[in-house]
Amino acid sequence: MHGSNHYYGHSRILARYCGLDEDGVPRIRGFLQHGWNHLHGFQPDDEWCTPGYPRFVWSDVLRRRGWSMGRRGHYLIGAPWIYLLAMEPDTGRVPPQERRGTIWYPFHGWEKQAVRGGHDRLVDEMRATEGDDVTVCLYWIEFRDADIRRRYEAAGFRVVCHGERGTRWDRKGHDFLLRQLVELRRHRRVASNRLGSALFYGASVGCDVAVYGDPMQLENERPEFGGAGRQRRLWPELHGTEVDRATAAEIAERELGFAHMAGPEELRCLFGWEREALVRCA
Amino acid sequence: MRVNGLEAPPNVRLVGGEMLTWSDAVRDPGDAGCLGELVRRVLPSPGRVLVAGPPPEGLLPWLTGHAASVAVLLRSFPDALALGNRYPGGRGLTVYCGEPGRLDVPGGFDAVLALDGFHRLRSPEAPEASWRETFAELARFVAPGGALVLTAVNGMGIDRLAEAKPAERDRTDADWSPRGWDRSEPTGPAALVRELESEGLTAERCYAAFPASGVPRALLAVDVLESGPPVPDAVVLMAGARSRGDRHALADPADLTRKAFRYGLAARLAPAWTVVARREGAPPPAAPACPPPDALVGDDLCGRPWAVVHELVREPGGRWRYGPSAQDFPFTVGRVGRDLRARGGTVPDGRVLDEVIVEACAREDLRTVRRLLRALTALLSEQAADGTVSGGPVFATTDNLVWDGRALHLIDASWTFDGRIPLRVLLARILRRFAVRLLDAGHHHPWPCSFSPAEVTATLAAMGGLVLEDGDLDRAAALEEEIASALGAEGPEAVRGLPTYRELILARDALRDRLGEARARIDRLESRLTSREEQLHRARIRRRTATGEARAVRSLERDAPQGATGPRRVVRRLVRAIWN
Repeated sequence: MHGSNHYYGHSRILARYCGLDEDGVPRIRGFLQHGWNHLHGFQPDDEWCTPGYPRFVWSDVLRRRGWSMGRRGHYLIGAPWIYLLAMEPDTGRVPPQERRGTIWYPFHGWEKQAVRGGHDRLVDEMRATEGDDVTVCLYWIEFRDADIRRRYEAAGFRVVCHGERGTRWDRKGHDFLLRQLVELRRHRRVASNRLGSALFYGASVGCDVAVYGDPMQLENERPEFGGAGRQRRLWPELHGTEVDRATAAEIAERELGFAHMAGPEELRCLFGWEREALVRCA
Repeated sequence: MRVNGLEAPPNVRLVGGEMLTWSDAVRDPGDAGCLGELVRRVLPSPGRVLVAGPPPEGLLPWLTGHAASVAVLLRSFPDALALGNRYPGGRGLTVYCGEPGRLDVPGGFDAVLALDGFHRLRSPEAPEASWRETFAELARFVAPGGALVLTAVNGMGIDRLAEAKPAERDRTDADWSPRGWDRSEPTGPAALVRELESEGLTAERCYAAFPASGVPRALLAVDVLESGPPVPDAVVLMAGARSRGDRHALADPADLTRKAFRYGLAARLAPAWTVVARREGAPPPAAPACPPPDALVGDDLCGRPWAVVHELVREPGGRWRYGPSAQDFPFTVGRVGRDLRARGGTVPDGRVLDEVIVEACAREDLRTVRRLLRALTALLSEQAADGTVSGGPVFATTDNLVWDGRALHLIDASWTFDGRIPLRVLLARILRRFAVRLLDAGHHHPWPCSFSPAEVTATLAAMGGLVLEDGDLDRAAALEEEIASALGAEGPEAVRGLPTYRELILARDALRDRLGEARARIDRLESRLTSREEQLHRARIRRRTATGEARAVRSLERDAPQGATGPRRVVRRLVRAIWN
């Protein structure tokens, strides 16, 4: 239906959860939310989400917002992340006392929108708050930018990238979330300059959470999002260098939609995978 | 503060959970009507006020002039900006924008007004909250000694019962939480009072709001409705809704309202309840001089400046009288004027003439129809001079008169007309209004169903003892248009909204009857036609016979020998035998 269904290996995770071959993942009959956001789960220009096909969203607040903005056909299944956790309860897990350092996710742009902001100032803030034991995880575009990468490396930070988003037709991004899970489970803290998927993923696997620093500006950021200020007003308790872990875990559970996890049979029916699987088997 | 490239004025404060692209302004209730009048009476000096939800615009200028401070809680960011800019700094108005649960104002407020219920208060940013939870969130803002004026919508209200397509089934963009399923909503005035008590508030007086929630036109104290003699029809008329707007209705809500009053169910079936409550504690800054009124009723079918809210008081004997009016000076627009001092002190008893004639029509009781219409003509004639009428009688329409069994009385005598109207034209105007409503509502009547409103009007006038002349109806329509234009209202045809489901069924039945009658006429005409055709056929045969016979005889006679008479007789006999 749309390429974003297959970003970050989401469709493969769900195919595996449903008992299908993850390398031959069929088309999903609907639109899968591919990242946390505080709009309705999709970009403002979501005309490609054809009415009549479900919008598989992570949490109820997205359904409510989407409804108020004229969108219909929401179906709550939670984030693909929660299905990965269900299938990988122990992968990368280390004893709590061995979890070290902070994994820091600078707010990133994407293929069509760059981020403007001062990385050097961010580095200073990170060092002042986290010390030296910092892993900086860059989005693949910034990771390929030698100049940006060098700024973090020069500060003595470990710099990693979970990979590209990927498509249905190649194996890029197929293990994106798995690599992220392993990194998050070995770190004690997860931090960023804006709320995002990684923060909630980290909170869901026991990381302490922190949101601080220059929130940076996305090029031509859509007004519907309301900017970083709106995030601060909605989740003031998640902003700052020290955040209550239980509160963060509770909010992460809600935003990632743990309560809305569907069974594999239900997903197969919803995604139209029963027939696809039969056809493929034949 | 800048949000989305828009500069928010300093009096707009974002509390979190605001709706950035949403607006409730399109459904702004506008004039505060009797709710605003209630607030002015029970909170003459309201102190620190919180208005929860979109405020009636008509109330804000008064509030900012009388309250120590005014805060408005809105969920829509564009609406908050607009309101903040309309009341810039220095006028004591602060707009809080966001979710009620995120608002934190130490010390609370001396008065909290939730005049529109809760349905435009919550934003999708918070999980669905029940009525009780939202009420608890609002109630915490009422300071000790402070007041709460709250409207609760009745899920079994007359407006809901009359709806063919209930609002809760609309599923508009505002219905991210489906309506109609909240079991914590109060189910009656007593339940509402219990909810208040559970939050430490004491109800001073509870009102039944008619004819619809939102901006009701009438507030009647529940204790008055549930005790003492029945409310006079003239008051019920003021509370009743006329069918208008674009909603599909099952039945005429005005008719349902009349029945609810007659059966003693008005308080239970009111579209909404508005309650005035206080929290125990220090006395308010300035307590009202008088208790909350028995009833407040706004004018129907007229816009500003005519629309006045009347206070009604039920006297110990059960009679209703008008309370003092704030607007006690006469005012005019064109030839139409109003002097509330001439309104009269007492609301007259009796049945509204409209309803009495409709009943007589339903019974095909033409004797009563004639009697009522002659009484109407007599009432107008008494005021006539040289066949023309002026002043108040111009407004003696069938929905502004009551019949006490012997005579007619004006319900609202405050209206005047500067100019003399021929009696026939005036009667034509009054009866035309009635005829339009009678036919539109699909009521049964004794006149041929093919009759137009003009034909019914002319017939009614004749029954009243006046024969309309050419041009009278046109002049009546022009008079109607002039009055409607001056009142800022619409004529009787335009007032009608979509027909109700019951009316549609009646209209279908009427069409079926009309079709049956038309078929009967066709059958009758065909029968007559067949009969005439047969007669014609026979006549033609006779004519042809006569013509052919004559021609044959002439031919034979021509060939017969001269002077022979015997054979001619034979020939004629022979020809007749052949042709016949």
